[in-house]
Amino acid sequence: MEDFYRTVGRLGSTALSVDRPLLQVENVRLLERFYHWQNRNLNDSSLPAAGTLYMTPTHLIFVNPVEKRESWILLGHIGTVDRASIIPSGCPLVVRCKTFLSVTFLIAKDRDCHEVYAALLRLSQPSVYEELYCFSHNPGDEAFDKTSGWNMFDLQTEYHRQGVPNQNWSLSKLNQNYEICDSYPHNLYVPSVASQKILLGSAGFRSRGRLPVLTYLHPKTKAAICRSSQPLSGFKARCEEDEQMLVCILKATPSSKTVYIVDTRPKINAMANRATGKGYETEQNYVGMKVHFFTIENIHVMRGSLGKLGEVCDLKAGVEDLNVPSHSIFLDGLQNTSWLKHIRAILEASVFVADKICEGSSVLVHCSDGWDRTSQTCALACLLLDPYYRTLHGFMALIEKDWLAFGHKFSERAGHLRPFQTASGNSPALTPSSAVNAVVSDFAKEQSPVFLQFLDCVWQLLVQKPHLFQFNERFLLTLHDHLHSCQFGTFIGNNEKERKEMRLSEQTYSLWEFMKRRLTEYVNPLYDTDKSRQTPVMQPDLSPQNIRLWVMMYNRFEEGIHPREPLSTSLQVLKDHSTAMDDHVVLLERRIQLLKEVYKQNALRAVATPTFDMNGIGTRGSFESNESVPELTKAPVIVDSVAVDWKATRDVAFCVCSTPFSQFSIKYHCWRCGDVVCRRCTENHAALEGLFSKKPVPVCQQCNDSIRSTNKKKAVVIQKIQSGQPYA
Amino acid sequence: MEFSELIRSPYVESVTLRILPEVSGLRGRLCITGHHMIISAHSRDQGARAAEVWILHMAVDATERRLYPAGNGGSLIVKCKDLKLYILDITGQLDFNNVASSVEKLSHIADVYNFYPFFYRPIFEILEDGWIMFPLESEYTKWTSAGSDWRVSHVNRKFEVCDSYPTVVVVPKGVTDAVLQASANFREGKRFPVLSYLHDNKAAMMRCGQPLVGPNNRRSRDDEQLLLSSIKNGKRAFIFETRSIVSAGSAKNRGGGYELEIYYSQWKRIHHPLERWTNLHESLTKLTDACADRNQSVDKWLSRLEGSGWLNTVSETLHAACVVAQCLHNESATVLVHGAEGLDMTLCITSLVQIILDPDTRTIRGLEALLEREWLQAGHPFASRCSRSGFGTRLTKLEAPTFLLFLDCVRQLHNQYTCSFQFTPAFLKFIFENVCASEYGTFLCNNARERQQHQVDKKTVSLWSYVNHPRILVTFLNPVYDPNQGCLWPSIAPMSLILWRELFLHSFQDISAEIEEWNVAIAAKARDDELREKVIRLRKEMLALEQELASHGISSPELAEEFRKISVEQAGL
Repeated sequence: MEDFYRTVGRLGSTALSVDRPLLQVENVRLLERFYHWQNRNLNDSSLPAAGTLYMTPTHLIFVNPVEKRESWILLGHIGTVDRASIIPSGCPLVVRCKTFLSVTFLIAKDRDCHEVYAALLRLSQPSVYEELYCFSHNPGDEAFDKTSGWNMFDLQTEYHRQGVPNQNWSLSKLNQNYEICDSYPHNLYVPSVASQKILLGSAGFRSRGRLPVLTYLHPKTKAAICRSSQPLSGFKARCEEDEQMLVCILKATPSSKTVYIVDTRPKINAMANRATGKGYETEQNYVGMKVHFFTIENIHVMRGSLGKLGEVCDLKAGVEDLNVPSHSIFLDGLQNTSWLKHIRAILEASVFVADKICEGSSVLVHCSDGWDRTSQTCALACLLLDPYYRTLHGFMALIEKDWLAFGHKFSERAGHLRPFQTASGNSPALTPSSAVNAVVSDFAKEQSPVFLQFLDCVWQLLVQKPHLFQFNERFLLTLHDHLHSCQFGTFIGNNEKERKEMRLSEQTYSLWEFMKRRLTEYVNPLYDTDKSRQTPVMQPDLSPQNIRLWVMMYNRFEEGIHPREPLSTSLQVLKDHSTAMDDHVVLLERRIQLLKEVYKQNALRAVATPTFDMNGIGTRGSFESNESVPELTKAPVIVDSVAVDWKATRDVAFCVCSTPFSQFSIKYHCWRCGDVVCRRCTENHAALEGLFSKKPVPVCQQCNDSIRSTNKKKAVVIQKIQSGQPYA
Repeated sequence: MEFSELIRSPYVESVTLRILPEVSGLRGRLCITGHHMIISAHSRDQGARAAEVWILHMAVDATERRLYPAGNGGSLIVKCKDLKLYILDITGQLDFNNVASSVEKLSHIADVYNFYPFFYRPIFEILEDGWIMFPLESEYTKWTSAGSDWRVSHVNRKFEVCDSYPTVVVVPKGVTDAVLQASANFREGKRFPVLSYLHDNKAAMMRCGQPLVGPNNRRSRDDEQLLLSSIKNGKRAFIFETRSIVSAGSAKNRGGGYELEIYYSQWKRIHHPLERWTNLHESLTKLTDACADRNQSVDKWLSRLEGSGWLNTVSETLHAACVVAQCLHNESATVLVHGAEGLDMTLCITSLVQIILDPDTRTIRGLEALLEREWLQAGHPFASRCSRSGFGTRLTKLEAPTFLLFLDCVRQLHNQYTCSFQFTPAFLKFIFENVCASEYGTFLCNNARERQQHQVDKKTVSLWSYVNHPRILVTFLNPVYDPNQGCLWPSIAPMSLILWRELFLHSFQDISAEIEEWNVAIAAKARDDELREKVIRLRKEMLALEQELASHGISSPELAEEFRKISVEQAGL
């Protein structure tokens, strides 16, 4: 995940030579978020060194020749670009990313600044899908092709896992070609007793045809979570089929006396919708059902809340700075954002759903359109109910199901594309900055941090019960990165139908395959399989003291403010080391056993033959008393191939390959020499002589080279032995 | 006074004890003794050892009676100073009243000789006596050894100069004891400037009480001389005031004040206003109240957390410590720290500075030594400050959780530099619990003089004797400790600070995640150590066997076969 920012230590890396930059600006300085340049008396000595800013079709790259650092910003991550007022040392250009990175470029010439600004506006949000990064991205790995990963998850398999179809629930082919609902998956699971008439009638009575369908069936209680959009009830409209539909859900739930209808919206919002012919179910029309309202606000409120949160996260000062924003101002600001209140509201609705399912009652969840709050609530309820969704694989399956398949509008909510109206002024660069901002904010109305909130809720649960989750915080952060990166096709488009039409699975790479290849990075060392099995249903505590600010997300790139030596990191190293030792022990024990047997046999033979007995190799070769061959099997080789002690990571600032470690880089160990290396260097996995499993394990470049040369030598020997040549 | 007068129902049967936040209770017999409430569970099967919970009366901060509506007893909520909560459900009105009033009275006993440490006999073998583990004089030798500009002074041998100072202090070499005495007369509480810490670069940190300048701008040439001789040849030095210029100024009207520039021309005064210790109790009470309410809205919680000001004070205190530490470390300048009395925030700062700068203080022993030097011997009045805590109401206006504030700051550092401390956060919590109430005498009384008077070191057991018992010590060891010789500069950005959940929330929330994380790490470390040893042992064994075989000139078909298999496998890669 650190790939987006400041990874490469060497200058003139490959990307620069491959893609000819669209733009190259000299004499630029990079000021980090908390560089309080406004308050300082600026002179060149207090400024960071000047460097070069490059712009490629996909990245903004800043090269600082003095510190030999490159900073990479993916254009897709850029949220807003602002030109602040000119100061003596240059024109500040403030770049804020959707991943909460915030940097300021101080550009010496006003004209250059303008040019960069215009180019960023144009390129950070293309206006058509075809221009998105994923259609040109190439991971540069032969083993990773476009087809891999796209079929890792399949909705039908997931329902099979839940035991569906069964006698109560069956597959409906009504939406096979998206006839009744273009934002739903093509396979729908509905109560077996629901007739086609009911299904069609109900679809007609729901916003955008999003009729109630099954999303999760609890294996024990057989209670179901169904989801839909709001009914088109207005002030008094009724629909017999829709009411019937709820009865069908009730009938499909053997142990239940009622179906809970969870309207995740505040009741007042639901009532307001009635004026536009939409609305909510009333208990008098839907006989026997129970309606509950929750307090999850709409996408516009959430977007506003996140905006305020950004300001709060800017409150920070260094030790050397005497004007520390007080903690009170921070808490006050945090309260004003209401962000944590919203997070709790989402969790509350989800816990309610999970509780009802545990009690054996089925639940129908909806909001307005049923693709934002409903996705959040259904997915979280599933996560609480089913340990499978708390595994790495299961969590991806959950996103496939409740988010991708059920039509959460990823591209619109994440703002992958420029809302098309803005194209009117052909070159937005000509419009004054403030005017452009006004236009953008007006058209960014569909953007909202809905998926981010879901990830935040998951993080809250992860922090509360870390032993129940197979994945870690990094996993969630990486998902958020790629929600916006547009590097992979997975989160592109707004629903299954659109993604099919764009043929993403043929034209782009899958995020799941990418993540699968780095799975070890996402493993939570605290995960406890036994405990997880014992606690199938997770019961979070939602008292306000337990709803925390996810600093690692919202202040991601402020290195200094995070714990520098987190326990989980050390724990992961300990566990990896133990794995290595475990494997090594097995080999040692086997070998000792072997040696002992040899000793015993030879003792019996009364030490008759002092030379090599050739039986084991048959007649194919002869290398008795040859110096170099037995050497390979000797104990020192085994001993040397596995490091007993791994280097401490604290003071290691650079990998052997001279890549600097940032706070977010994982520091790997070479299993052979115990040195600390970066991820790229450990991509060479090799089997070690000293490990019994002979599984490829992380080794550094140097060790890898030496293993290869030894292997080559051995291969020669073996070939000679096998071909019957005498080894010389 | 006899305890028996206060105990009217020594035994009450069928009492249920609930230890919050757990809902289930322990049902059994309640026994009230002079020092404890003991609840022993009715054992179901005979022979099995019954569960027992002992609660020291000294630990009780406040009690609350909740009568049953039927009038046949009630719930006694026992709120402890270490922020733990117990609920005793007692049936029978008489028993309930007797228990409640006994607990109330027993928890208010102020006579030090009745405190439990004077009655406690250790149930472990004392291998190292904590009372003599950190003799000040030898603690100070590293700063006063030959060639140093500092010397040990015994001017306070009989506590005649300053009754809150220890018998041994370190002062600049060039000043005589007479000067010290004169300076003491010019300082609040007779607390003349003494050395608190000597950094590696020979920069010195001193502490004292405020100068008694008064409205008439008094001066003391001896005090000026004492301070001047602490400065290395004409370098700049800093006076770090924990009060604002305004409050230091108004202290002048009451006889106190600050060092006037004209008399202390080499010193630059930095005013870094910190919360006064007198306000800390209220801050903690508000925080505890906010933590106790599980059913409020998120907004309300944030607003009450903010209103308590606790984290704000933590942040400011850390910040102040950083400023002092930077003067010492980066500018090699002498720093004098004081506020008014120099008993609270002054000690908080001087001890935090040492944790930031001195790696030794981050070990268990080092922290113990630091607490001895900078808190116990430096005269922080533990008895008065810690007689009430977050649940209680102040009785004497002397109560203040200054020490808890210090521990919280260390907890923040621990969170930011987890591998740099030899102990786990549980050790900090353990110390706090023992400050609140303990079977050990370490935190009794207000200063060294009082402890000597009451012969605390002869009549009680030291907490350090217990902690340093190898069997106990291991339980506090940080499994991921990796000694860090550098300074620990903390981040004081608001989002870097955390609420000390294991302490403030342990009676209101399930904090098992915080504890479990450490348990997992401890287990993982133990397993890894074991494996490492096993590898080394097996390697030796293997090498010995091979040598043995080689000495007989023996190899074997099996070995050759094994080799062949491995080679083929690897050649295939």
